[in-house]
Amino acid sequence: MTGKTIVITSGKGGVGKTTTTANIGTGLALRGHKVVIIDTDIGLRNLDVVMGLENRIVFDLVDVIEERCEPSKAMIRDKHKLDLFLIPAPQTRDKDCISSEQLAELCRTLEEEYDYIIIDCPAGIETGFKNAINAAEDAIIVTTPEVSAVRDADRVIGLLDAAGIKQPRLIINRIHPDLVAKGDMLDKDDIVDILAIDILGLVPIDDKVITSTNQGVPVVHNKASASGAAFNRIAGRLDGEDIPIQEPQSASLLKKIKAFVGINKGEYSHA
Amino acid sequence: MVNQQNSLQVIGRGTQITFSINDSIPIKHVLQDLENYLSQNSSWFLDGSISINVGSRMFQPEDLRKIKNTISIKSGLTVSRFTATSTQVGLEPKTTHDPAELELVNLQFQPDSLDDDSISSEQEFVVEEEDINTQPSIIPSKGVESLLIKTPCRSGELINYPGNVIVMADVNPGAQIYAGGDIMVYGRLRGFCHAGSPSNKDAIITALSLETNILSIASINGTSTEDHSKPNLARPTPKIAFLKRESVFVAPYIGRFSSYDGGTIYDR
Repeated sequence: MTGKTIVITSGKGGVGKTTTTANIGTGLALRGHKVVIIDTDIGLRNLDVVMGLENRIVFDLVDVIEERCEPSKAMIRDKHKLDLFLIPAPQTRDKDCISSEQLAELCRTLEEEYDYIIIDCPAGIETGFKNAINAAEDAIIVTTPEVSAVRDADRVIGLLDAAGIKQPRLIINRIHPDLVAKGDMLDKDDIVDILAIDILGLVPIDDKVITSTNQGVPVVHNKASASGAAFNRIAGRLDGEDIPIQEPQSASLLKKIKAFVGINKGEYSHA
Repeated sequence: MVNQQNSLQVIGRGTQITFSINDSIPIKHVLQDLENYLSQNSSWFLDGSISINVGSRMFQPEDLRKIKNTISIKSGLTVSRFTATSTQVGLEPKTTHDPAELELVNLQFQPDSLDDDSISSEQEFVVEEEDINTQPSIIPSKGVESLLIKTPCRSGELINYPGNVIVMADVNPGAQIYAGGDIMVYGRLRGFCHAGSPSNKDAIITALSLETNILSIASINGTSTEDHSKPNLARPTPKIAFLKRESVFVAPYIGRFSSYDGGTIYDR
């Protein structure tokens, strides 16, 4: 069985690439797949922290690439004993110490044994980004509903297209349902209108993402949370299931209805 | 990127490359130029498919095969399609393929389409023959060819084309289009457009929704401070930009170009 290598990228930093990588990887592993997640953000690693595997690192990606150890030695198993492995990035090197061919070769080797290889791409569009996208056959773009993030996503889609990845899919992260309802935030349709690619999932803003990141347990384990459920649906869609896209709902739906019909205007004024 | 040779013009967009061959130069010279060009620039090309625009020339199938072989030996590229320009209209390159395949981007990979037999290439030039027979004296003038783009022009994308550019999608912020002729955007224009580059003052820019604050025609820039952040998407008005009295003017685009002598100046 041959696996699939997917890169998770955004262009802009801080939109949630690493969190998304951890959650999609965990989500796919929870569905019974064998998954490897690779942190390619050499010098600024943090996927290990998000996964809660920080103090188990012995070997890293560059040790594998420079053949100081077997890939299996650098692969750290997930805390929950899923078929989920992390190849961490070194913290003391820089992005030039691996080449895109070496990373691609590693991914091809891993594909023979694992179902999904998920690459956490560094921010920016320089060497680290090029290495990451050249190794992948498919891409997921993460953006937030902000003009700057959407602009960078647009640039990245163009670069992916030039690199031969024609159909990236989009995750919109940190949607504020209330702001969208008031028309103060770009909504799904605005973003799709600009980027013209298919949506893979919508993730609402959720405090549980922050608490779970700090605990080193991806929020996808918590299926009761809005964001955990969203990441579960995304993993399902990646797995080929036909799950309809759900718009994040505001907690105060009743208030919005009241605002719409003109009651309670002081609180939800459209002015 | 655009590369101008005597008989040969190479236009690249993303992974797609178009070779445009001058009509009036004998095939021998074209082949020689092609070989020179490819041996000088072989590092550019790794592998992939290309389409070739042969202008309004009538090629024999053997010539086409020679060009194809030269390219595949010298560069490792595969020729997926030959296209030809109509001498009459001078608009987009014409092929006998389905019109949907006209798209310069999203080329279908058809490595064997010319190897099987020469039918496909011969068919293409049947159309050419008719064109040339009915209008034998018209020679296509420079800059009337058009580049048809059907995918969005994204941030960071640079299109530089000596003819007209037609985009059947949005031009996003951060994209740049430089055209020797007109630019037509069948979508939202939010990037930078320079029509008539460098000095064609008759060039125009049209867009279904004009949401950019800077437009250039010939050597003249028009700027506006209008806020495009909340455009009326429900009822966008197509706009046309043109030069009048050494300034860029913008008017609603109703359809007939000759009536555009009014409009408002695109300036603070």
